[in-house]
Amino acid sequence: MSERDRRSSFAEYAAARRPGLVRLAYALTGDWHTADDVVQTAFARLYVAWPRVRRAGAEDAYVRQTILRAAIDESRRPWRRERAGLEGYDHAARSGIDAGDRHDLVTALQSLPEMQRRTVVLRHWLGLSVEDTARELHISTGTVKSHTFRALARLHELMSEQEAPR
Amino acid sequence: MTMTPTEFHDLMTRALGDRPSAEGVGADVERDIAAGRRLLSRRRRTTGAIVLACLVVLGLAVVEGTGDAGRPDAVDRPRHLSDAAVLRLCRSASLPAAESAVFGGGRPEIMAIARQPNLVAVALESADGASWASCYVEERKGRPWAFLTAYAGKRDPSRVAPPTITAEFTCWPLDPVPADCMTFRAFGADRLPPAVAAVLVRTADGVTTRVPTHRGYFAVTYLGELADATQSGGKYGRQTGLLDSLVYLDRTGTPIAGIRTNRKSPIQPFTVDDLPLIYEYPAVRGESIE
Repeated sequence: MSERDRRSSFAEYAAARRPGLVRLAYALTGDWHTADDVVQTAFARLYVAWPRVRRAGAEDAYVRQTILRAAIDESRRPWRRERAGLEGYDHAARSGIDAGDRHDLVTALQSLPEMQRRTVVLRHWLGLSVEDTARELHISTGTVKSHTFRALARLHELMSEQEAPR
Repeated sequence: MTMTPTEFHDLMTRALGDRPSAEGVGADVERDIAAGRRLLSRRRRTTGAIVLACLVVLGLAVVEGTGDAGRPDAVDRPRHLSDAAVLRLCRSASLPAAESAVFGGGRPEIMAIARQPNLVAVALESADGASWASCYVEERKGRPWAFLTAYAGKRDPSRVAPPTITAEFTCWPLDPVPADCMTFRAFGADRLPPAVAAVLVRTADGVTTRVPTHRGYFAVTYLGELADATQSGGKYGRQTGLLDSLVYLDRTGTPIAGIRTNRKSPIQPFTVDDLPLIYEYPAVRGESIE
C-alpha cells in the first residue's frame, strides 16, 4: 500500500469513527483530554498497522482493543498526563446534552472497579455480545455476566444517591 | 434493585450522544495521522535499538549513564556524534513546519544534551527564541536516526503538562514484557520554568540521576538494569514504576516539588516528602508544530 493510499483510506476511516471512539474513551477514563490522548494513541497505532488490519477487515476490533489498553497505559503514566479542569465539565459543551447528567453518570462509572466499567461499557453501551466482550477483555463469559450484573447494580445505587439531594 | 441494560444504554446515550458528530473532526484526524507517522518512524528505529539492546545484555556495552557529559562507554555511536552532526540529523528528521520554525531563522542553540551509547537526547531553541524542539538520535542498523518534535515556545496556560520523560524496558515493544528482561532506559528532553535548576530522576534500580537545567531546558538519558523483576511493576504491568520519582531543585539545591509513582493507583501519584506536586511547575510547551 502506498503512503498516499494509506493516508487517504486511514483519514476516511478516522473521520468516520473518531467522535464515537472519543466518547468510548471518555466513558472509560472520565476525562475528555485523556480521552483525546487515548484515541490519538490508538489511531497512531492503527496507522502503523493499517495495511495489515485493513486487509483483515478488523479495523473496529483493533482500534477498540487498543483504546482499552491505551486507557490503562495513560493512567499508569503520571509523567505524561496533562491535568484538565473539572472532570466532566472540561470539554466544550455539546448542544442537546445535559452536562449534569453526563457528570453524574461518568462520576458513577469512574467509581466502578475498572473491569466492571469496561465490561458494562462494551456489553451494554456498545452492544457487544457476551462472547465478544469476553474475547475483547480476555475473560470468561461467566465473568462478563457477573461483572455486568454487579456494575449495573452499583450504578443504580450510585445514581440513586446522586438523585436524592436534588 | 438494579439498573436494566436498556436504562444504562439510554443514560449513556443521553449523556454522551448516540452517534458521532463530524464537527471539527478534520483537524483531529490530521493530528492522528501526524502521530501515526511519528510512531511508524519510531517503530522502524526501535527495531534497530532492540538489536543493540541485545548486545548490551550480552555484555558488550555499559549499564549506566548520566544527564551530564560523562562516563566512559564501550560503544562509541552515536554518543560521540559532534553537536553539528546531531543538529544535522535532527534537521533531517523535521517535518517542513517544524524545520522552518526551529532551523529557519539560523542555527538553533543546543540548550541541553545528554548522551548514551546508542541514544542522544537534546533540547534545541530556535535562533529567534520563538520555538524549541526535543530531538532524539538513536542508532539503527549501524546508522544514526533522529526523531524531532517542535513546540511553540510560549506555554498554553490552559494546559498543565508534566515533563516528558519516557522509561521503558529495552525489550519494548514486546507486551507483556518478558520476566527476564531487566535492562531499561529513561530519556527525555523538555523545558521547565526557570525556577527549576535541576531535576533528580530516581529510577527503579535505586539510582538517582541529577540533571541540571539550562534556562529551564534539560536532557537526560539513563540506561539501567534491575537486580530482580520485583523492583518495578505493579497492578498494571512491569513497565509501571520504572521511574520511581522526580524531584525539582531550585538554585540552592533545595527541593521545591516532586512526584512519586503509586503503582497500585497510578492515577493518584504520591507526593515526595510533602513537597508540592510537579504540576506546580508545568513544562513550558505550546502546541506542537508538525
